[in-house]
Amino acid sequence: MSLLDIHNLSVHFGSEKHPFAAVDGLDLTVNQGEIVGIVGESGSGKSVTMMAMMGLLEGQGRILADRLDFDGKNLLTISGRERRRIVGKDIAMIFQDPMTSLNPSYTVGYQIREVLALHQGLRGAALNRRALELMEMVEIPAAKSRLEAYPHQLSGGMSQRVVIAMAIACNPKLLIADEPTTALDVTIQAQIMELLVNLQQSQNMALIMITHDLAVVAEVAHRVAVMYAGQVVETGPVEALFRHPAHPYTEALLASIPEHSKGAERLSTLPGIVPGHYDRPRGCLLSPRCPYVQEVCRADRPALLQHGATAARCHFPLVAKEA
Amino acid sequence: MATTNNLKAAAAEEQAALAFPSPMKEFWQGFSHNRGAVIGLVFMTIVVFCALFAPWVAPYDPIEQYREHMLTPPAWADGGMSQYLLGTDELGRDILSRLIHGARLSLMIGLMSVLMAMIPGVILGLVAAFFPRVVGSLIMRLMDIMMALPSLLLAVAIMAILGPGLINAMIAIAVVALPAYVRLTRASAMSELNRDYVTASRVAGAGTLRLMFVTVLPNCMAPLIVHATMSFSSAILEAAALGFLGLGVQPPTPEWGTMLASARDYIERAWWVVTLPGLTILLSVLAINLMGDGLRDALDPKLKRAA
Amino acid sequence: MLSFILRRLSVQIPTFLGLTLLTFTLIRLIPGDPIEVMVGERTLDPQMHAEAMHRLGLDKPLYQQYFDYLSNLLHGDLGLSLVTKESVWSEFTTLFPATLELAIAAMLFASVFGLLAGVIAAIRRGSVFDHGVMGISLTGFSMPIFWWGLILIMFFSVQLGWTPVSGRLDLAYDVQPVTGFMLIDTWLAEAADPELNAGAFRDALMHLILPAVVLGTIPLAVIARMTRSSMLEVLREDYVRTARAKGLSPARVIFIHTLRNALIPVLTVMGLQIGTLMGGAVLTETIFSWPGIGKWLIDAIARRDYPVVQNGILIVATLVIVTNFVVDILYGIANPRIRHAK
Repeated sequence: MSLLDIHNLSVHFGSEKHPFAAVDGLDLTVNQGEIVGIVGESGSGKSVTMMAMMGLLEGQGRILADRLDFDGKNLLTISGRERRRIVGKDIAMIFQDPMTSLNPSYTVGYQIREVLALHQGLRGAALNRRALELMEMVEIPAAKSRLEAYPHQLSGGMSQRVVIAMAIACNPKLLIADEPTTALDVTIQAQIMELLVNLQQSQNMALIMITHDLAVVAEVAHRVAVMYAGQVVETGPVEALFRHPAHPYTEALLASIPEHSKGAERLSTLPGIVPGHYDRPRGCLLSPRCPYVQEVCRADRPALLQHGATAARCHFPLVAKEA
Repeated sequence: MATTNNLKAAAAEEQAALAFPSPMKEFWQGFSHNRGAVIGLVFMTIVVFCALFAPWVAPYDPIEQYREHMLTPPAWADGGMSQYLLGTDELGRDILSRLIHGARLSLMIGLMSVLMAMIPGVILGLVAAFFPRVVGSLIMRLMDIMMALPSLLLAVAIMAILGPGLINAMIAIAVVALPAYVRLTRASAMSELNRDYVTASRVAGAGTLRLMFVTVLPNCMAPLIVHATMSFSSAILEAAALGFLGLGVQPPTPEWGTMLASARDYIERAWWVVTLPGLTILLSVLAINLMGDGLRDALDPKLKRAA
Repeated sequence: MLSFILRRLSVQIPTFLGLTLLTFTLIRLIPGDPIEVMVGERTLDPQMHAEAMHRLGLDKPLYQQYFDYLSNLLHGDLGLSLVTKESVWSEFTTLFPATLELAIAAMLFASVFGLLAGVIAAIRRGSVFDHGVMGISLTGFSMPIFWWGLILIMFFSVQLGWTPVSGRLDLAYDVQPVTGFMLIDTWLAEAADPELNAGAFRDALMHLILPAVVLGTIPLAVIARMTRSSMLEVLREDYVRTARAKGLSPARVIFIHTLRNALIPVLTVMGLQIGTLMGGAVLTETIFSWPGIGKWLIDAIARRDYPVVQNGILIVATLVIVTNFVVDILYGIANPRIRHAK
């Protein structure tokens, strides 16, 4: 059984009358100890999916799903109290901008101890010891004195390490990293990424890595899900998906990576933009931009079906064409 | 030649297709979106109309005493008389007529004191922004001191020196309002000064005066307009407070606050003498503040764009 | 922390000096000279006039007069009231507790209800409650408080007879001014002589309620509005999302992580309300015949008691500066970013 099992998840915003679906029929599974990369342009619904799962949308979005199970518990039907026992403990999340993700009024130590006290009931010396241990685990130098520092006294990289320490404090089964390096300097990015992967291995956590950087995914992930306009358009093992993309969108994404188009004069780009919330095409969401578009693509929305090694939402998957 | 004509035609077409709404229309769209602001505007239009045409709108002379009808209740209450719609006061003067004439005074005090505070305030603020070192810090220190005095207390102190009266009340209220204008102008001018269009204008050889009033000032107007509305309403409140304390406009002039000065004696006997002038003040001030909120909403896109 | 306080303190000293200059000039701007004003309608022969000028030091050059004024201030000499011949300072200290008690009660009323209303309105944004709070607070903000006082007296005192009309305490009680705070003094008096002074505390409390509500109305409106908008801003912050992602309870997210940060601008606004409060005290004390600083100053102006006007205003303004200074320090404690800023 998968650790996380999402089937047909939709998140609707706006009024009941004119809803728009930020996430639209999304399927995703994550197994224990696995690294899954979620790739997509901004606004494709990557973060909203994770926020919906963690119950962070605060009644702004309406969440519908056939299945939204974590570790055998149905996240849709449990009470807020039960959810808060899981969130922050078994599922933890790291956000994009570390500089704004820490509360400026409290010391770093306070914010780490807060999670430990809440979920593990640690008190006194044990609490302090564990907080220090966590700071050391995320390789913060002078950890003891840094515990008493305020967030504004730390650099972006240090802050992100603190956020990671807070996230792994209760040995989560699933860690979600939402573009954890986007806001950081290039030199720091690799360090943080390495730290995350090391922790994933030593703690044996499942890790969902949300990013728009395909190179990162190729390097660390076991499986990938490519998202486009609120849907997973293709998913599969990293190797297969990168070598033989079945979906035209995946192909276009891969072609836009500099390393993949060595020798070509210009980087390849996909014409057009992601459809807005109110002008979604009736058929395949990519149909207005797809170079292989056919009549049926404009009329019918394809389902996510297995095509060779990966599953893709496409009437004319590229794998089949090659075969 | 033909190509230039074509280009011109294309440009004209493009212009027609985009059809930017005029600033006034855009402003009105933002303003009318706020329902409270529209209600405030309607109420204030009525008040302004009454003020402008007071002698014709008011049924009686505001200081004429009808001794035989002293403390007549409003028309709808027990013992009310239909010729005195809102009743009469302790000297038999028609309250409605006094309120209508009072609108003149309140609006005039508000308008004059806003002008008397805004004009020097804007000039001082611009000077402080353009010469921040010596003159600017001197001006700001002085404003800090004026801000340390509670506004009503400062107004009262000024009235104590100048003596009571209409003009003196305007001066006192204007002096009290001055520091806020200086601070606001300085702050927005300072942030504008760092922008490229100012540098460009400077490089083009614009003199300091031109930079101040032609280049920078128009771009500071949005917050100033909003603040002027708010200070208009507080001017009315302060004028009424001074009148109430017996330091403002003197009786028998029908000023709203002055009308309340003796009202305390009639709390037990004539509720209308107490209630009506204050209610008029409250509604007018509320209407102006509602308009101020609407103005802020309507001007906010510009504020945001500027930020 | 100490250097932070000293840094802030050094900014206040020139402000205070400027203030003394202002009150010094203010009194010399009165048309005619003070002696004539004091004597009023009666004519004065030039000899006596010159003597009086000399006695008050008014024949010296202006800068000399200013330095004399400053040195008197430094020695704690604030002059004598022309009317009562009492020292201005002792009059102030007798009356100040009454104003302070009123101001504290008003601020307590305004803060408790303002914060509560603002927080709930922000959490339930767009609800009926939210619209109600915003509407009421705009009305409160537009309130002519002297009229508001009259209306409350008319309703609660005259119509319902629930509260007394004016003053601080019924004359029937014999209460010694120990602290000057009527609530404490009556409580002590009741404890000392339960028979004679039974119900004195309750009576003092009833006297206090209406004036405190009147004086607190505008601060209440301002605090509620500010709390709401500040809360809404902080609720959008990333770190609030982080707090929720930790699985903290909604109450903890609101009170520990959101309110703490939202309070910072609210605190500033509260500090600025101290000035409004002192100004409002002038009106409130006049309406309720509350024997405090505001009424004292207005009476002094009416009697042309210039030493009281001059130095009374100086004391009040100094108080406002001091409170703003304290607020500034509190602000630094609440906000580590400011404390550490060099």
